[in-house]
Amino acid sequence: MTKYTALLFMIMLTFSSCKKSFDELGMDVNRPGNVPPSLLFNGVLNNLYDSPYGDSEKWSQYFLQNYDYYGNNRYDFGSGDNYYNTLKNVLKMEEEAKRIQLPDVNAYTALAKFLKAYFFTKMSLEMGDIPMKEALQGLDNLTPVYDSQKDVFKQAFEWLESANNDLTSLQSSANDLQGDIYLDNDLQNGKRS
Amino acid sequence: MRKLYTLLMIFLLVEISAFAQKMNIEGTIKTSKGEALPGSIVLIKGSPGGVSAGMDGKFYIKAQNGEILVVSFIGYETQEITISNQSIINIIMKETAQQLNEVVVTALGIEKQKTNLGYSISDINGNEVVKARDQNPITGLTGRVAGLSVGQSPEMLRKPNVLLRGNELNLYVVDGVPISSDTWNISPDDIQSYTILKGPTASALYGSRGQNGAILITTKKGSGKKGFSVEFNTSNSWDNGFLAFPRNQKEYGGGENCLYAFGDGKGGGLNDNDYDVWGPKFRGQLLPQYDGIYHPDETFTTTFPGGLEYTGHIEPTPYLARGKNNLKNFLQTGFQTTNNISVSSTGDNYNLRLSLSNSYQQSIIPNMDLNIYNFNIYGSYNISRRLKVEGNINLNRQGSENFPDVDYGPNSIIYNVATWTGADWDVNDPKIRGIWQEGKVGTQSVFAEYQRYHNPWFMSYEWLRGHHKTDTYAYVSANYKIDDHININLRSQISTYNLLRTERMPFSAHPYGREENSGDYREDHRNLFDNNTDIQIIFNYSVKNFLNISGLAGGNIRLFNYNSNFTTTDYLNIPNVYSFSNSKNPVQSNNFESTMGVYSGYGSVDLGFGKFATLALTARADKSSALLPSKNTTFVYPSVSISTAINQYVKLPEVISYFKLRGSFASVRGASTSESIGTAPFNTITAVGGGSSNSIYGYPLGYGNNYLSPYGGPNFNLVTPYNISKDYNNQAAAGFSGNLVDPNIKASNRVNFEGGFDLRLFKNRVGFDFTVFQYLDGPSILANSISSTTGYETYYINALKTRKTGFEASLSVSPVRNASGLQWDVVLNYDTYKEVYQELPAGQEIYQRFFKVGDRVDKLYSSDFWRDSNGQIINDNNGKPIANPVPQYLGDLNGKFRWALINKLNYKQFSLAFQFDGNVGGVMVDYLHNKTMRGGSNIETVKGAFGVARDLDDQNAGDPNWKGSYVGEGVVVSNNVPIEYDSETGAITNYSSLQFESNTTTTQVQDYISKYYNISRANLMSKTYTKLREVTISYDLPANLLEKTGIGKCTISLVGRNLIYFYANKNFTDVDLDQYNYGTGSTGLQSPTTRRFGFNINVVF
Repeated sequence: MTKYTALLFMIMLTFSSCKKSFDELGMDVNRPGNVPPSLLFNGVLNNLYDSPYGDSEKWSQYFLQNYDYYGNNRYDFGSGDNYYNTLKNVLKMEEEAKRIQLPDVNAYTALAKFLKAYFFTKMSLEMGDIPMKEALQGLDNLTPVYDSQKDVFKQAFEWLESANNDLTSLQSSANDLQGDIYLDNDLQNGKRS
Repeated sequence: MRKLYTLLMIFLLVEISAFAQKMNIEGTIKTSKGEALPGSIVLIKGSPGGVSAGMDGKFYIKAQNGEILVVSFIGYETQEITISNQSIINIIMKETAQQLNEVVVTALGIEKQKTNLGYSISDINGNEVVKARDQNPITGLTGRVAGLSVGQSPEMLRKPNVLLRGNELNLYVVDGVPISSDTWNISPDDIQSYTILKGPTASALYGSRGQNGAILITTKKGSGKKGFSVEFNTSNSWDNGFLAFPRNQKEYGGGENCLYAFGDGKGGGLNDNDYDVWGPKFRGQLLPQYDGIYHPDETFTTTFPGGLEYTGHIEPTPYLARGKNNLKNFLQTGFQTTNNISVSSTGDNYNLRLSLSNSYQQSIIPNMDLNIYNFNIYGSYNISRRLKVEGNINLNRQGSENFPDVDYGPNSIIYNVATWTGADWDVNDPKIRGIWQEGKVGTQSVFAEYQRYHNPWFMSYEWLRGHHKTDTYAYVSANYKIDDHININLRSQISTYNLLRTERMPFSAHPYGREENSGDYREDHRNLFDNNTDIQIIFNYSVKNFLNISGLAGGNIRLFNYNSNFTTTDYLNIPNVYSFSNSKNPVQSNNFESTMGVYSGYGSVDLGFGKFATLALTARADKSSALLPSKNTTFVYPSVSISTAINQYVKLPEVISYFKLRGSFASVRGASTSESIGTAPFNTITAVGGGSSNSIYGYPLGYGNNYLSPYGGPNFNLVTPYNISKDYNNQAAAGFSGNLVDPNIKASNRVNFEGGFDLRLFKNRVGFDFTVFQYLDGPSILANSISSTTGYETYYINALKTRKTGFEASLSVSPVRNASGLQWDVVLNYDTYKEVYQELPAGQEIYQRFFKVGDRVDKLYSSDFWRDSNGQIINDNNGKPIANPVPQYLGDLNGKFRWALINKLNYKQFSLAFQFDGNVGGVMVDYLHNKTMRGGSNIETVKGAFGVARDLDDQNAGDPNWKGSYVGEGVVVSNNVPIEYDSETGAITNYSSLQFESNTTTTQVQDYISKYYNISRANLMSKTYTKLREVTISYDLPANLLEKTGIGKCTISLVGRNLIYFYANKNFTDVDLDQYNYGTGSTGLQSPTTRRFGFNINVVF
């Protein structure tokens, strides 16, 4: 009896050998929990551009479409651009820059101000009043209130002022910026544009 | 004193002699079918106490010669056996005529008497399904079980859609152990019986995997009788005749607005690239075509009827319908053969069975076939009277060098031959069959067009997709009988597969996203390893004759591991060298890995109150790592069921031979897992046409089918990391997850109430089983949409409750049961269900834009026409219909009910069986109809008013002033007032200010149809259909013929499957509804379905 029990127990252990703890078993090893801010910067810049063959180009009358199979030339405006997801990545970029212990004023935070100004004003030009002050807070605020277009622009100008000052002061110091696909990481170019 | 002493001596003597003569008696109690009867009571007549038979029907008792053993069990005739010098007494119990006494296999492989079950269960003998065989063991179950819907796919290697009460079933259990299966890794010849557990109560012991029920398969374990036996089976069938086939016109060829001239097939001619089938009519007129002779120094001018001229270097040839039946001529006869040989041996202490099968299928599409090899070995050995060990390994290998992918796109035969090219080219033309252009073998193919479409022979013979999968499932178990009432079971089981899929895309192939014509090579590797180890204590006690307590308590550890890798070249340098080293641009690769651990404890108790009732209780607790990082990783769920056979204790009218009531309740929880997984989970590859993805269903290409393989592991929906993609120039970019997750999120929930009865009348000549059920699903783990201004798109919370109610009924009648041997049995199955929203997420009145509490969850909202108050279609000022900007309710996706009628006639050695089944109700959009109408290849475009107008368009081809002749039905707004509508419902709000008049604007047929048939309403098809599913004639060779050959039994059957497809509206007979048995808004493309004829020979030695 005991001989068999020992054997059975051994079999059970062999087949269910788990070297990982319960928490380790549930981990997602495929995707990172933290990334360098340069990767976020790259992603944001990719979302920045307007590709050709969009409805915006048709409405701005850069081309006509007269083949019913693929579309038509009606002015059925839908919703405007939605950059809130990209703006969240801009905020994450600032967070990750802080996490890798870059100085408080660095290339990423400076450019973040510019990007925020750019995206918010672009959306506001298309849709008018949009949430801004209470937006991008995730679980803390699931129903952000709308801000007036005037307030959005006022904040945007403050950001641009601040960004300009930051970029000027950063030019003289070492450049930590990476991931720039347009202007080759040169802050001088960034400031100019 | 002396008298007392004598008395004492006599007494003692008698005692001693009695004691001396008490023997150990053992035996096995079985039914006349050879199944064990656990729990049978064995008493010695006149003595107190007794024993009950164990799980395998074995009993041990001490008795002496002359004593009478009384053996009894509910539903069987009690037997009395006088002991006379036997030490082994095997008893066969006869059923009393009245009730159902079959033993069925229930959850965890436990056999129980069907009469004691409080929930709905169906069992089917494997041999019945094998006779009318299908290569796939599950497809043969179509229509046989009310509530089970099997939607067969016409594509090779695609698994059938198996639904139980409308939910996809993915728990397959073989001999008590769950396996990972896509249904192709089980050999039909090894199956002894199927048990279908229809609801959560039945499968509560399997935990969250059993939420939607389960199919339990019991494999053959030897013939049951002592000795050696061999069984051989061969099944062969051919495909002949089409049921559903695309309906193409053969009057007009490729082109646009009746204009076409071949230049280079890439836009150098007139509408000669990526064209529709709206080209010129076949009138024998001279036109430059793909196989015309090219003259470098000479040009030719073609003038179209409307005045337009085209000048080019290709000599015009007569434009005729050379390829009137391209698709039919291209497809070949399909063929399937399955052969199996099995050897089994049974002895006193052991049982052994070996089985080897090979299944070969040749597709109706040329150069595509599939080979499946299956090897199964089972052995059991009784080491001692108390200890038994068992083991089983099943090895399955699927291999195909080339299988079809007909999903919508240039990679699909149906797309190329039946949708987007016309009859102007002939599939049997030697140049087209030759595939390659002269001097350019391997680099440039021949076809009528060179930008978007492909030569079908090229697609079948040069563009190869390989699939090789090795599937293994195995278990080892040991059972130790502590005593007659308790035994302990220890088992470890694995289910694992290794899959390799490849694609060799040659030069000259140009599907979506791969327009450079420079070929590609891709590999998709997937490996899954799932291990379950169980320990169970199984007990069976009887209290007097009245109460029987049986059940088990157990624990399970499940460890799961999966990894996959998808790698592809980014174009090739050298043609025909399919290797990653030959990649022109950097090789792209994506990999994925996941692990999961589930620790469980479970128990079940069955209380049998004599002949009155049986009460069963189960409980299970799981701790799953798939719920991390939530704090609530443990969940508990119970079930209770009760059954009572009223006829056993109440005197019912004689006509009723059996009447049982049953009821049950179960609660099942689910973690964040998915039953299947895609090609590139969390895909980061964007260079080859696909997009990055944060789901396990990610797909890296822009075309083709995303093959889903069985999974069952975590889907990481509750984890919020960064996602990487390579958006620009192969550089990595990151984006944060768009999901928010409630940190206290819990497992999802399903509560099931079920009740029903089983009735048998006229000595079992008429049977009626009825079950009514209700599933309360929720709160589920819901991906709830939130305002994107928060920066996130989805918030995972426990919310949303739905209620599904339905019932199943099965009526079986034996109108004829003759003494001469004629027997006729009829079975009619019926099932229906409906699911509605019961509770929406907090604070929401509307869900997913249109649904309110009480609405069916399967309402189809899609595009519809705008109509005036008289129901007339409103057109715009160009004479084309306006689509309502708000999607409208078009119908329900699921049918009202499903039914099946199965007839069986037996006369001596002959039997004839035929089956009809079908679905009533439900709607769906026919995607192929949409594309063939808008593309101009559908036969409806040349009939009736369309046909007349199309001909006129052709007579005016190229005339810039020709405005067409077709006048669309309906009205136009005549007073220039813009239409105002409600943005939520799409209803027009200013009817009073609008004025309408009949539409008089003419259009060209192509433009009108392109607009009209883009609206879902125009392609909406009903899902009501009926099929003559199968006809089987079989003959058992008589015993006297076989006497000398040594053959024990030989059966020959002739089989016809999928014989007739009844569908009301012929416009939609381009789709076979079998594979759309689930609620889906739109069809895809499918290969034509065929009739199948074959024969089956079964020999037992």
